[in-house]
Amino acid sequence: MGENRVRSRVIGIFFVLSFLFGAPLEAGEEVQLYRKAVKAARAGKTDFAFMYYNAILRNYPQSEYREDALFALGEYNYQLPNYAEAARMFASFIADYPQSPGRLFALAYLYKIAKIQENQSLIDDLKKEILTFRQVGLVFKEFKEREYHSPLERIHRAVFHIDMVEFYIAGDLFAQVSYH
Amino acid sequence: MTDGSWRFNIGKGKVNKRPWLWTAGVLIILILILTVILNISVYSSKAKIIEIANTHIADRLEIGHMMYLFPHTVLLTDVRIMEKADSQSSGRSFRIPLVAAKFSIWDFVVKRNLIIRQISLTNPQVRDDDLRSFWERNSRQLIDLFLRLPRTDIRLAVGEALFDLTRNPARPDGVSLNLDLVLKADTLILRGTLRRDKFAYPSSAAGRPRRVAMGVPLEYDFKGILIDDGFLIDNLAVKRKNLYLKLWGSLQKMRLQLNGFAFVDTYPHEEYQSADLKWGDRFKIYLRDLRHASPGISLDDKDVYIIDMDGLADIAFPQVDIRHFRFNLNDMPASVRGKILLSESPSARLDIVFYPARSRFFKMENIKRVQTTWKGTIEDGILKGRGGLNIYFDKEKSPNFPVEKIGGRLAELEFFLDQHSRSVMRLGKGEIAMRLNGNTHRLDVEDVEVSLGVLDKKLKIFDVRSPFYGGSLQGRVWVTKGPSRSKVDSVFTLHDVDAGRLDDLLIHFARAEGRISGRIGLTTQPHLMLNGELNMRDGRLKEFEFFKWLAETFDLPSLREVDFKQVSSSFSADVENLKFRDILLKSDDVNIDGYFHLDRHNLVSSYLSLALSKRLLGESRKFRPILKIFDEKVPALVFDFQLSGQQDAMNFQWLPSEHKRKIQERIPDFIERIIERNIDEMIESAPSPQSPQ
Repeated sequence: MGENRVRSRVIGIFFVLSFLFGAPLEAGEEVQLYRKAVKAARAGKTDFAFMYYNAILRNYPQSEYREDALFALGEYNYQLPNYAEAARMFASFIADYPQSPGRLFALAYLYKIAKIQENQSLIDDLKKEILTFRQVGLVFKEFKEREYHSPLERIHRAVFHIDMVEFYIAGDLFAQVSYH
Repeated sequence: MTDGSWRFNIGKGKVNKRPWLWTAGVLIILILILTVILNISVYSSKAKIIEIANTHIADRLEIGHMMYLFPHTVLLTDVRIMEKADSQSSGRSFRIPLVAAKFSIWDFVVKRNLIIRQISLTNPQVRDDDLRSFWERNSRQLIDLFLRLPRTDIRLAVGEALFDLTRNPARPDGVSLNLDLVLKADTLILRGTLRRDKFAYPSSAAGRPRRVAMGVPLEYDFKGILIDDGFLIDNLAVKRKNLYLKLWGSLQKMRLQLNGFAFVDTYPHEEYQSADLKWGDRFKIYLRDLRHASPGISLDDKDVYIIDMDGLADIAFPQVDIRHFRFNLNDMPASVRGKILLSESPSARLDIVFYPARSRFFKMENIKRVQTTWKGTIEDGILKGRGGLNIYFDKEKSPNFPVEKIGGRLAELEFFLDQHSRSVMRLGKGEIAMRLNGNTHRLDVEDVEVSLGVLDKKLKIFDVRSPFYGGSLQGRVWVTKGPSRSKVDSVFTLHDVDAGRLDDLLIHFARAEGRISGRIGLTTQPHLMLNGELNMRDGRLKEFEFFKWLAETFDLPSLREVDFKQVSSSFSADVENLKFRDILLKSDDVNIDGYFHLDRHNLVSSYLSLALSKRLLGESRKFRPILKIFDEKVPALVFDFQLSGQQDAMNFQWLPSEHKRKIQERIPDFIERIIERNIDEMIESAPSPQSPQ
């Protein structure tokens, strides 16, 4: 009888603890996934990073890491290449996070995809949006730059000239958007 | 025996011939007797006939002579219809030299009823305004009489009726009408021709004008069915070399309903045939026309197609109230409403709307609606009036097209309908307003005259002259008929125009004083394009946007008003681009040259070289240290800029130059970085038209 009472108490405490700590346990998993994604990206294991970001996106749609997850998935799908899925990810990224520092580079990816798909009207719209993204004044400099570290740990750089904008990823020229 | 037989035979031969002769003789005598009796009867009835006729019309009928012709014709000669107030024939009159009325012998002999079966009028003559006033006075009575008459079959033929349209006694003018009207049971058939002929006075001083050439006839063919309170229009066709019109509908209780279509050649070449042709030549022409005649309609030379006509109007002569008239003009839907007054001076008040965007062929698909109102009269061959015009553009179709609406009010507008007049249009006063990017730009014109220079099968040339804001405007417009649509090319020159009066036109762009001269060209093909050059001398720029920015940013107050010797530029504009090339500004303190382009996305591409005098730069504390770098031999500093980006938030780059190199040599690197940072802060602090970065 005493053993039964002890067993019941343990089970009851277990349930109470589960109830109290169940949510934080799930949140902890989300953070864990994000940390794993970042770690994998830094290690150059983009496939694993993609898996973890994808899990965040699928299981935690309201996550604070959704912004990074969207960009990462877009970036990864572009490299596959799976342009349709990449375009979908970047379009959601731009729509949901207009203030994001990665917005300009998402536009660059979409511009490249539009050129591959030969969608002229989309090319024109994206070209205008990129060229007017920021106003630049070049007094003594020949260009101005903007840099962005993507969730997959690749350095994205935009170079603003007076007559064009160049995009570099990991030091390689990715896209050139010109006024003419 | 033989002799008796022979004599008997001779007697028999004489007896055989005589009955025929006798019969013919008797018949002739009977005819003569009958003719004489009936002529006496007709003569004695003449006064009574006139009296009866005068009770049915408001005017007065006079008949010269009446005569009976065997077997069933009564001739009336020198018939006149005059206003009852006029006792002399020199007044308003309707003159018919010969009227022939045929009656039914059967009804006359058997039923003792005199029923007229056919009336022929030969060479009636009337002035058009006399005819109009006759109709005004007598239409109601004639229509009532027609409706009260017993329904019998009758035919009315009019041969070579002349409507005298002469306005200038030195230039006789007239239209000839041939008409054949048949009323059979309830069916009314009307066929005939109208022809504009040429007339001339004979060599002798006295004498009436005679026909010297016959124009191309306009044929008409009408078939109607009489019903209560009106008739059904089964077919109304009008055909001429440059026109085919077909209508059908009804006229009931003075409400006219019409449907139909029309094809028109608006570049006709009038042909005339000599009235003095010999019979042999006339026969040859008849055979030629028979060989070339085709039963169908030739559409190859037609350039205007009006189809799907649907009209409804109430007629209370002389007023016609158009409740609606909808149609399709060259695939463009249109509608008309209004009133027309068919008096001695016809007048009209009309509202006309076109919907170009609904046309498959109209190139400018963003023109949503064109609405015009017109109120005017026709006097002495001149269409006079005033009107308004509004053109609405669809922003959704072409969001980059800056024009939202063009509206105009036109007063003292005259169109000259006299084919001998060179002028075609005069505009006393016009106000045109254009809504562009939320701003309204106004243009006022006065005393504009348009004349027709050359008329050809495929080409029309219009010359335009007008005083224009203290100077003058002259231009020429070529309209060339093409295989699918017409092409318009035009060139206008401005001379000595006062720029200071153009503020309402050039708002938000510049406040300029000076005299402008220049050339502006407009063409519609291959696409709509405007180009030209403008030159302004000895003037002043006030509150010019670019100088205003420089003045505020760099503390140069003199740039708010710049006196110049010359400002000039060439320009071109179409739906894709706006370009200013060879921009030149020459003044004592500021010189500019370069180009400025704006594309359909409102993106700028520009190069400007700006030379600012040392005197001007010395006004600003920011520039004084820089001025010390340059010795006295350098009168001005030159700044070369390249511009790009959005028009209201342009990117700019100070391009390398000798002056820039010298400045950079004297400025330490950290000062350069400070200047760059200050520029960035200035840009970021300015209100941005772009959404967030």
